[in-house]
Amino acid sequence: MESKAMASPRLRTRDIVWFELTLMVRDQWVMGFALVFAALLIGVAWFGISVSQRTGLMGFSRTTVSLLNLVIYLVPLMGMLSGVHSLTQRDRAGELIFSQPLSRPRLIFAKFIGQCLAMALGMVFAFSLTGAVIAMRQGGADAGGYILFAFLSLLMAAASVGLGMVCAVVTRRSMAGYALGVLVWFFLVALYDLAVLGFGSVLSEREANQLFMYSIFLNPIDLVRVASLMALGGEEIFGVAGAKLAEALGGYSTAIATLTGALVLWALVPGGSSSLLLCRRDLI
Amino acid sequence: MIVLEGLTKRYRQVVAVEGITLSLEPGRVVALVGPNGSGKSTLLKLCAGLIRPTRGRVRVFGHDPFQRPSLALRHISYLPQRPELPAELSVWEVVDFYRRLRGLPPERTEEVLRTVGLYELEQADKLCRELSGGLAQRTTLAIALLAEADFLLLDEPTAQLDPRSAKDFFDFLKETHARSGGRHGIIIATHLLDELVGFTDRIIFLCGGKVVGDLDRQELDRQVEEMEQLRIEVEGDGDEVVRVAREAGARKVSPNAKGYLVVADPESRARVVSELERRGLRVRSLEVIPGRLEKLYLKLIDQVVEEAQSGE
Repeated sequence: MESKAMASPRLRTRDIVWFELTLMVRDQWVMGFALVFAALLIGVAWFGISVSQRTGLMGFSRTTVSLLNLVIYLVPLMGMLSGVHSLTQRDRAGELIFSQPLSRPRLIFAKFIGQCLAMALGMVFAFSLTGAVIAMRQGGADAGGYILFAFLSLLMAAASVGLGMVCAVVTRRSMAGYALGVLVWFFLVALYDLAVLGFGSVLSEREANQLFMYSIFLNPIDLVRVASLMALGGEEIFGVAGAKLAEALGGYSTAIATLTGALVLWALVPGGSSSLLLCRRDLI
Repeated sequence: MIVLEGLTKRYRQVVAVEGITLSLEPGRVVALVGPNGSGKSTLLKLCAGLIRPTRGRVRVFGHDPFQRPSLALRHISYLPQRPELPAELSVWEVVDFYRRLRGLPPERTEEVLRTVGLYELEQADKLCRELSGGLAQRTTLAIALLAEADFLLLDEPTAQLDPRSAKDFFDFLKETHARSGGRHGIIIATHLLDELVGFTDRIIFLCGGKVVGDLDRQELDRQVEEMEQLRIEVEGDGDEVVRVAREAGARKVSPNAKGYLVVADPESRARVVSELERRGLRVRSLEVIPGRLEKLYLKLIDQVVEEAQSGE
């Protein structure tokens, strides 16, 4: 009875990744996201270039900074929603697939990778197109910072997909999952910094500085914001605070590497947590 | 073998299944029957590892389906109540995806689509969103049949179908089961009791999350036969009819719009008729009303309700 044929775990993971990705492509989520995201990025970059040309501030980096706000608002929201979607829709996370002889962590991990790839497809398309527009208008100087920014945004997308999956597992309901996802997104993009500032205001200067520094690691959006700005010319943009942060983390390059490392953890931990949580719970 | 031991499942305050102990052998057709909320679906979900028992345990060939799905669920194919097919994939793509998950050879997709008749109907290339309810259910059945698992768990598979499609589904299921030589066990939760006659080897009646009856085919046939009735239209005094029928061996005689309903075993029936004739009560018409599983079901459920009420 134990000799029933089974695909190797690696093959099954690949098949589930393909399944997720195909579903996202077929229901035009990837295309829609890619087009809207590209249009917004190009729009912001275009206006950024026009303004910088008029004020005499030129360069790939300056234009990239103008994209930062758009990306850190939009990407986590989309990632969060797609994470919730992947675990609350019955056609992709229903009884049929969960009654297959697969371990739940493997199934969730594969779904997570599939969702991340779907987001990455759209983002790579949008960043490539926008990068080409910027390069055509302003040349390719400082393109490294832009590429790093795009890479960090991909990690942030993975982190938010994982957080979305956690929201889905915790709430176990589609609408409640989306609502919690939006709440978490709003907290991370808007309330978190306010909360940290408020808390820091009652501490001594030294304690507050430490709080501000370490609080960056607890929010993937802050990690992207700070690491990108450092890579795009942190000394000019951050001034003394940036210098202190860089000093504490061992210099600008080390600081960027540390922040990127933290973001990699953020990309993996929520997705992993959702697997573990779902292992202990009834199917959504 | 699926073994359930003291199985209880609670959803907060609601007890869905309580203290169920059962053994289910492969190769047999077992029906789970009971009113809505009796615990049929919960029981199947527990066997398929979709939910975790609150108390007790489930073992599928010795493995816990919730903790060790990769081992336990090799022996199980589960067909959910509602087809959950991704709208934008074709029938072929969906079935083939599940085929790959089970590590089966590529030709199995075509085989199983032929088995459920979707290949011949040229439905395999259709997108799932274009399928009717019946065809969507057949596609889901194709997925469930892929692995030729030891147990096929069907959770009210006809709940979303119209009566014609439901009948077709059962005919198809019986045919497929017969074609496979009855090698694989089927555990089916359903309300369509008439479809079960002659098909199931065992019926488990559930009510309020508990097993209230567990009958194998012989016992089932006996109990259903016992419920056979004789409808007699007789000319003459009503009290006399009842008295004579009772004397001739009828277990129960009750007036009916068209005459009298007489409950008697087959030997006594002939005696009742000849005795009525002998006493000058002319029998105008005679009809045997076969016992029905539905009546047995209602009888069992009514008993449970009565017991519960008397307990209060």
